[in-house]
Amino acid sequence: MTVVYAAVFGRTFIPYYGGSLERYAFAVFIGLTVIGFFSATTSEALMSVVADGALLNKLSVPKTAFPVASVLANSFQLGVGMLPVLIGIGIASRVSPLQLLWLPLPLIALVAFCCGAGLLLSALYVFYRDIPSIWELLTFFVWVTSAVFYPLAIVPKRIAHIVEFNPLFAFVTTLREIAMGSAQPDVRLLGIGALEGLGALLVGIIVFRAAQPGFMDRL
Amino acid sequence: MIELRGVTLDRRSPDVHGNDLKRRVFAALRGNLRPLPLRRVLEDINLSVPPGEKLGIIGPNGAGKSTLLKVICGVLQPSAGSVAVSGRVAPVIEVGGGFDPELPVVENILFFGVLLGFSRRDMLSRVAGVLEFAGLEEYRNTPVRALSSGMVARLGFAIATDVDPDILIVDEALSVGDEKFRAKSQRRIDRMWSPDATVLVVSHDLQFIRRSCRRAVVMEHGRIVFDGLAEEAVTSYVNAVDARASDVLARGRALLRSR
Repeated sequence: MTVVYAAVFGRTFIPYYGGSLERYAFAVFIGLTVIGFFSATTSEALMSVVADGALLNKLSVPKTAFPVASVLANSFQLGVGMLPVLIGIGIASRVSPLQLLWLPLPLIALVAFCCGAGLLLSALYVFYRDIPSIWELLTFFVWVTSAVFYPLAIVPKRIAHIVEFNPLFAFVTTLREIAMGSAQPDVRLLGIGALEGLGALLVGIIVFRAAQPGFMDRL
Repeated sequence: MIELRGVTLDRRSPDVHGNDLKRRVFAALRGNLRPLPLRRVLEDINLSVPPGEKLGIIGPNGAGKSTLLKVICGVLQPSAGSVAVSGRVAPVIEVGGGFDPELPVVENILFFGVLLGFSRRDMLSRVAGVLEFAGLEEYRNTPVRALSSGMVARLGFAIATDVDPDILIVDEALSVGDEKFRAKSQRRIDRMWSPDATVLVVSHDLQFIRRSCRRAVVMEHGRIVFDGLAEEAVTSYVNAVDARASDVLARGRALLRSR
């Protein structure tokens, strides 16, 4: 996918990336991986409780395990697949190795954020079976507004805050800053990412707990 | 040890609006979103099963037999009353009852063992025994979806009985499998029928209940209507069914005569 974007949009956007197609490709790769992880894990977690309804009707098992497990299983790929590439990007961008030590923070926050979203969605899906189509629409909205393949600078000032309001913005931007060394990692943004992760996890757990007693009549 | 006191369970009847956010929002806008009626599926169940008891549960379809088992398993929480169960409970998983159809047989065995509270390593050592008993050695790496329904039932029975549970829950799963397997599972049941294992069986096979259980309860409309020796329970159930049949017959005759 990164190659496709680089080929199609590369020439238009490279002025924003210091005239380097490589840097544009790095930025696209990081954006795509984050958004891909988000949409893959949340849509998988969404189904998890209902998909195992037959099992839940047989055995009494902790139900939170299902959405959390589907996010964590994907996180393994994030750890062994994306992290080395990010380090490679860091080396190629001549970023100091010390700065790369920041990498795990936004990644862990992203995983927590997806766990929270997964818990929330999987609980809602038990009650409302049309959630997947609504979620698909929302994910697409997040995807388009998260500055994956275009530089933030081309977004008109008036609507730029929509992009910054995007929940994935903090993760994408801090990962780019850290790995590509385009700027000092923005501590404020790192904090926002961490808070998003914690907040989502908290909301997810609370909603899931509250909804759980109603599960068995609907599975 | 199983102790149920005054257990009552209300379940939500299927939703007229369907499980659909869009439809519910529209129904709410039109103002015809009614709260759902609850249906009483278990009413004031008092049941005490000492360790080692073999208890049969009989009754017509929809009487709440399987629901009662689910309450004992901890799958369903009672609306009122208390449930106390001590010991490891293992249900026999039947067709469509929670195996992952895409995973190979071996993985499913490990998966269930872990869910029943065994460590993965512990289960690895049991896999061979389970496969051997279920007669599925050559299907070791076949996805469960490719097995016949009888084979799946054999697998479920083999897993639940291999883990030596304190309480075995059997819901209509004994009549499956071919003759050869039936003979084999009968032998294992006989072994499960050892003095210290508690077994709860829901079955419509009254002969089996009479032969294998010491005690039985008859359920009807969510209540326990008889609790006593299996022999007497079966007689009471059969008489009730006969009485109803002759009642229907009598009413039919009366109708004919009145014409």
